[in-house]
Amino acid sequence: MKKQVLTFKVNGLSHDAIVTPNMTLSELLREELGLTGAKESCGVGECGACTVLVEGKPVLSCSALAIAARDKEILTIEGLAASVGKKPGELHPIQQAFVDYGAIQCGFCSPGMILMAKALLDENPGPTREEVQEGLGGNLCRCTGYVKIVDAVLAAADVLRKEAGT
Amino acid sequence: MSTDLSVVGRRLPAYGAVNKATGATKYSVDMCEPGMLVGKLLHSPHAHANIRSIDKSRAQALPGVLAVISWEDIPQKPFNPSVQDWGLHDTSNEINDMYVISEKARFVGDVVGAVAAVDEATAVEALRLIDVEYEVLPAVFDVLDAMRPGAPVVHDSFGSNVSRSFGFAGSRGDVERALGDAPVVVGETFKTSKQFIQALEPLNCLAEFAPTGELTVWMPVQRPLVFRKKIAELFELPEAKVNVICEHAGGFFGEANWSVAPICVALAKQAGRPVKLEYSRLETGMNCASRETYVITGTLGVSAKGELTAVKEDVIVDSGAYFNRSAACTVVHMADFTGLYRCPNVSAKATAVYTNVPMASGFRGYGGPPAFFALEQLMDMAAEKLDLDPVELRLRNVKRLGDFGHAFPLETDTHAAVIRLGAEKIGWEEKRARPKVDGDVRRGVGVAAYYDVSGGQPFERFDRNLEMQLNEDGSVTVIINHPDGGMNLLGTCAQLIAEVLGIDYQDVHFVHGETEGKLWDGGMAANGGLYTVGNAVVRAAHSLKAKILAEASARLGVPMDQLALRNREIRLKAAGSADFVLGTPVLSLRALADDAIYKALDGSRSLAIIEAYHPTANPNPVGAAFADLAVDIGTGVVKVEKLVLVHDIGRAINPATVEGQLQGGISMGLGYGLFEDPAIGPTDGVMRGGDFNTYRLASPLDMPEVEVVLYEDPAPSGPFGGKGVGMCGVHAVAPAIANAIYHAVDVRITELPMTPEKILEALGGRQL
Ligand code: FES
Ligand code: FES
Repeated sequence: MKKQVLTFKVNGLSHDAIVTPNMTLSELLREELGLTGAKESCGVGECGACTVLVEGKPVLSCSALAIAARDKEILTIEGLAASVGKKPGELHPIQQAFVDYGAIQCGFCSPGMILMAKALLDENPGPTREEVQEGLGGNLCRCTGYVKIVDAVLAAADVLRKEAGT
Repeated sequence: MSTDLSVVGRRLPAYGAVNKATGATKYSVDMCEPGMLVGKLLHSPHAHANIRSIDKSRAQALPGVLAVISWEDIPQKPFNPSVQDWGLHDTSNEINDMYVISEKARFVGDVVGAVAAVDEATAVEALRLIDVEYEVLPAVFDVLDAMRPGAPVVHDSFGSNVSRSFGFAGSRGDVERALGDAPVVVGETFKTSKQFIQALEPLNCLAEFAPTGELTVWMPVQRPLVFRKKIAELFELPEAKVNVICEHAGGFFGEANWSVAPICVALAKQAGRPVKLEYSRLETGMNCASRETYVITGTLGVSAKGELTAVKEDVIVDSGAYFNRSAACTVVHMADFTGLYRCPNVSAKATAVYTNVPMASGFRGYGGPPAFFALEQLMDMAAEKLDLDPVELRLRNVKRLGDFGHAFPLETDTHAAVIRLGAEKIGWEEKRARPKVDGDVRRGVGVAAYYDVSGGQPFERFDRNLEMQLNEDGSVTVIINHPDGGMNLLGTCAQLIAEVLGIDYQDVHFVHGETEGKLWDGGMAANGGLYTVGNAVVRAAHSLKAKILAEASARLGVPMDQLALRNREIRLKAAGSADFVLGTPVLSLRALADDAIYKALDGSRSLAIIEAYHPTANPNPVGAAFADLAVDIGTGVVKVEKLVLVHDIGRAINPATVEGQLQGGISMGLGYGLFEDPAIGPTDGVMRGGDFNTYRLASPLDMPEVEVVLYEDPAPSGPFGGKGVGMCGVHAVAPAIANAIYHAVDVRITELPMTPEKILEALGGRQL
């Protein structure tokens, strides 16, 4: 299979990688770059655990091809806090809310949930409970029953709105 | 509630949550080792077949393939993934009936071989090159068919598919006579479904041998030390040369199939390289284990006053292709069915049967969810005959203080209050009385109760051994082999320890992620984490505290009983005063620990404790669920509007953790009740519900309004009064929904899951 050299940005840093045409974005991130924050649970686009943001939009990295990342800006859970100017050891308000509200049990769905919540709140900074459920509708969690996840997203929305002064 | 607790009872962040939120936590599926190969499984396409021959030569010849194994390469020692023959528990009804890979395939997907290769594509190609000649045998998929004479026999050595018949040891009184005398008798047969664990982390394993023979295994596992012994026995290795590593796992809901590791180990051994074996979603279902499926025939006898006089159960257990945990789960099941309520005459018996479908095992709640699905519908049937409110019938029959639970007397008298509170929260009276008809939908409200244990004792060893030490900085480290599967057991234990020692909960550290260097521990199961590990750490913390105060007493020349620990300080109690809090700080914990190491003239010493804890009681957590729902009589679709669950936790050490456990259990109970279904073909045994499109887990959109209420009445034997919770959310959701459906549309759905098709069929075009 023909390999290509790909240039792209992950969490603000530029990377080059050699990829095959059928390599998935999740393989590129997890196996080539060692960024294992994006989880693979189903591998076929049915659970949202592998969600990352490409150019700010949520993408299921298990079902996206690595080559589609060419020249793109990718944000993974590892870079989320820094992307809003947080120092090492500090959390993004959505991460903080997930921790504070007990929205994380095993944590396997959490990176995907948090990034999906970010995409949701970027689009709709003041969602209702139903809109949060809707927005996270494609992200599965076997542990929490979603109650505290939705609580956390709503609480984070408040914090973010206050920070933005709106 | 006592108010002098400072850490216990607080909603503190869960153990490891920050690392999980930032993607820093490593699960075994994230691990990789230099030179690691990719493992893949070869599955039987037939539901039942002998392997006449298996030719691995073409696969072995493929460049990049380093191991190809079949049954011949695995020690042919009879094996049971969940049973230990070492005196851990009573194994008289258990069966070691499988090999890690056997010469016979017993369900579609049974593992017949495996390969390890340099990459995934090569591994997949190698599987294609294994030539297996099958002798296809007739197969049987339905448990009742499997019991008929002449049915294909799944395990030849038994002569038939009935593997075991066993009575319930707690049977008592004269059930037949009581049923004969009872003015009200209700009976029904229920069929439960094959719910799969499907934790989000797919089952996986990474195995590596060191040149000197030490084996390291990374995998999600709830009982690592038990498992280490199993692997050591199978491969004839000394236990001390096997290290099982599991620091964090992506969900612990039951004992999945431990065969993943033996296969991976066999591949690594043959290849001489580390091998990682990652199960697909389908394999994480099919090749792991489901909840047992039961056909339950239950009968209740009730007096005119609404008191149970007889509870009888006859249960047929569909073990699937292998026995696994059929006995233990079913004993629990019978104890739940016959034991939820007071009753003088009870009897139960079970028949375990093999079929050609994937095997069952212990899954969150064990046999409880099937038991309550049947029992709690029977209770509603009896209430109707007696013209009694279903809540009232339950209140008349709940167990009281001192009545026996599963093996020990109840320690508190809470069930009636719990049920009353739930009724109040859902608005029971008003919702029972409201008009049912609302356009195309019919509204209903239902109740179901449950109870559970706080660990497997005395039937199984839930003993804990741990070390606790005071570090030189005044913090505490606990060394115990407990993988974190998301229940926040370690965070909860940190709160308990911090409370006893007067330190911050963040000053409690755990070394917990591998078997290496750990004292023996029975692992995680049966709702027992908080109660058994919690009691063990509380005892250890008290011993450590005594040691600290003795050290301080010697240094300060003050009697121990005049010293106390608060805010990481040793304080002096004013003479005659009981108030330690306001006493004068005389020494920091840090200075004490540091001095004991660096300044003690008679030799440096770490202040440390070894705790060996053997639980001698088992308080029963109790609870009740209430469902408010609407049934669309045109489509049969059930829309659950609200679920209320009240749980008697004894004491909530961390209320957010307890609520989260229950909310998660509720989402599983919802799936169990309404839609989780592996859709195993009735004529071909093919599991069509394999991925998340076809085996549906509850999504955020499926969740109704959920209200979880914690009822606190400390259990005397629990750590600060706490008792079990992890399994409890799942128990009563399906029966509460079933009872609400009956209330809405007057039909009893006796088979899980309660799909729209089943509801429409039961309605039979009836005008309501
Ligand atoms: S792993 Fe990508 S959607 Fe499930
Ligand atoms: S926290 Fe375990 S899957 Fe969501």
